[in-house]
Amino acid sequence: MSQESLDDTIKFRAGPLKEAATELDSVHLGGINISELAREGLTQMLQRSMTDDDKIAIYERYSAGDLSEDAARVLLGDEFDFLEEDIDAFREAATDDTSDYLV
Amino acid sequence: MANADTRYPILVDTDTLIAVANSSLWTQLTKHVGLTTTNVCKQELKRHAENTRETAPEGSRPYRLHYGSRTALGALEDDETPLTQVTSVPRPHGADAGEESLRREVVQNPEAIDYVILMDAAGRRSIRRAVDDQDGDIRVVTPPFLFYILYDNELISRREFCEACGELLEREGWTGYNAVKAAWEGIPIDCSDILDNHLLP
Repeated sequence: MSQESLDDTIKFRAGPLKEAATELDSVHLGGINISELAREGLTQMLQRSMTDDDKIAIYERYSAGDLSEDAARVLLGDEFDFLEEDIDAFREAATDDTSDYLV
Repeated sequence: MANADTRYPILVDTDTLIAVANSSLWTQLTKHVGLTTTNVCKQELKRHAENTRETAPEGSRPYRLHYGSRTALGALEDDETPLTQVTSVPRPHGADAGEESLRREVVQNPEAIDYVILMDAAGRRSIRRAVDDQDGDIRVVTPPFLFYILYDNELISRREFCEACGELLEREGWTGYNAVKAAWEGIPIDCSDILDNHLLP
């Protein structure tokens, strides 16, 4: 959650991935941003790896203050914002006079 | 109580109807709260009822689709029940036809609607955008709002409210979690003494 942790580097054995990325960088007009692609790719794969139960657990950790908003957003993507919008909408609706809707 | 021309200011989609028709509060809801859906959603209910078997294992998704749809259709066809339908023109087609029919209602008849209730989170956002685009003041909320109306008017107890939310959590996974979480955070109601630990976030 601190600035320091946001600067962390993820290391893994790239092997042929590194060779492939370097090769594409050399042939692609203007080159490619390997770091940016790696960040995007990891984000997508993390989101794809999430089960419904994982999503619930992640949002609960965020709710309890055990996970940063940035990390929760990485994992949940748009669904993070959907939930925040829904909470606000429900909070506002709960201030209405609901007796108007009884028959 | 409700004839074909009656239009209530709460508009609900197919999945909301199925979810609440399967809930323990259905009888209370159809006794006390007026709801309107569209002819397209009614068609989706019919399709669910026809395409899923009566003999599906109890508690399975096909079982819930079948019996929830049948229950909701029964209420739609019963003039004594305050559940009515409006006709969406032109009639949308495709997988999201029900949701699209609600969106069109919001655009074409905003003055007749106070709330739109959908089970799908992306669908709620899409309709919220349609409301914003025309500076409307229609609220787009999750299905537990229907339980909340009963609770807020002392027609059901806190226990009944919590149990109905628990049913949604158990049945609908992340979709139900979204819906119930929005309700619990929006109106702090503590269900911890009522629901099993595994249902509580």
